[in-house]
Amino acid sequence: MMRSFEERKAEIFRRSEKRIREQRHRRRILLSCVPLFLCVLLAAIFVLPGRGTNESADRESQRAEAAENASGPIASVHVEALGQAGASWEIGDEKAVRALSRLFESAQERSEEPSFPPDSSLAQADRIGDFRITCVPESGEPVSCLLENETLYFEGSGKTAVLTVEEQAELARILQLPQ
Amino acid sequence: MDNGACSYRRFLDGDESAFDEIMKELFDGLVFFINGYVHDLHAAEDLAIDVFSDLVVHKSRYNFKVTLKTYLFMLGRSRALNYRKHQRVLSFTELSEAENALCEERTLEETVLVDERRRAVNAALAKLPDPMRVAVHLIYFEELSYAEAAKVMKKTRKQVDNLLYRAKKELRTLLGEDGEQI
Repeated sequence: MMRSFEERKAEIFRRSEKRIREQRHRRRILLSCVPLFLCVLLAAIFVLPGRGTNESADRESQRAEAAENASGPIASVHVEALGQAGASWEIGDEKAVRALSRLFESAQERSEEPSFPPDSSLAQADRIGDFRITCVPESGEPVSCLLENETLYFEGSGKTAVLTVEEQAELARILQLPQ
Repeated sequence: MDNGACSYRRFLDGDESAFDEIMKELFDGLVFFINGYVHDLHAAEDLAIDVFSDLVVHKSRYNFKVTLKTYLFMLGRSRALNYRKHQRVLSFTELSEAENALCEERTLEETVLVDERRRAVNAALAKLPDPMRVAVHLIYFEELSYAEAAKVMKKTRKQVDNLLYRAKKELRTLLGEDGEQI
């Protein structure tokens, strides 16, 4: 049997209400998903790359700490001009010491076993123009190296490093050597 | 005549009685139109109820650029085709039920098609292919314009024109002398 007018009307509104309820329910679910999605997105944007940066920063500070623990920060530098009796001087200027420390670090990084180790049997007179640089750390043993022309010889490790022209110029400036 | 658009505007403004007016004016015609597709009066009524509930749920979808009747028939056609697509299983009906359904269909036909001659045309229309039948139904029974019928059928005006021309030719053959008057 077909429905009467009132039955049809009631059915239309009943179905409409049901559909509106379903629509609201769907919208509510969707709205609850939006903040969740945003949280995940923000986490992906800020937290994960941040973690990566923190890790690399941690690694960097650990390395610096380890380097510092090995010999401690350099307090002063003692320079001795070989072949010239009594010619030695001290560098206490903090800036110069820091620059020298940086220069030594970079030289040490690329230092290698020497093919011709410096001849220690040479007489003092034959060593004119060479320098012994001794770095005195705040704590620990002093480290000394020999500067022969453009080559730096680390006496502790027995390795040598060839200085670049810029490094030579900077070293001469720090050590107050005539260029 | 605005075919319900004015009543719908009133309904949107909160006048509940306007919805009754729309239903009285358009519901039976819509059921009759959908029945042409689904050939099941109860399913057609059900689909028409769904179409009307669309009007209540999605109030902003109707943009008043076409008449409300055209809009409802567009929705009706779409729902009817969808129903037909999903109706794969043949259902068996008891003879008594079939007689009842036939009787109800006749009643609806008498409500929608008051004119005796129109009923004769409607009977002949059943023998025509779907597009021709729908075109004749919309233009002669529902008195939609060619443009509106084209919109409902999702065809161009020219296509509707061609369908009508061919439908008239067929109807003249089927109805004999009566067909000449169409």
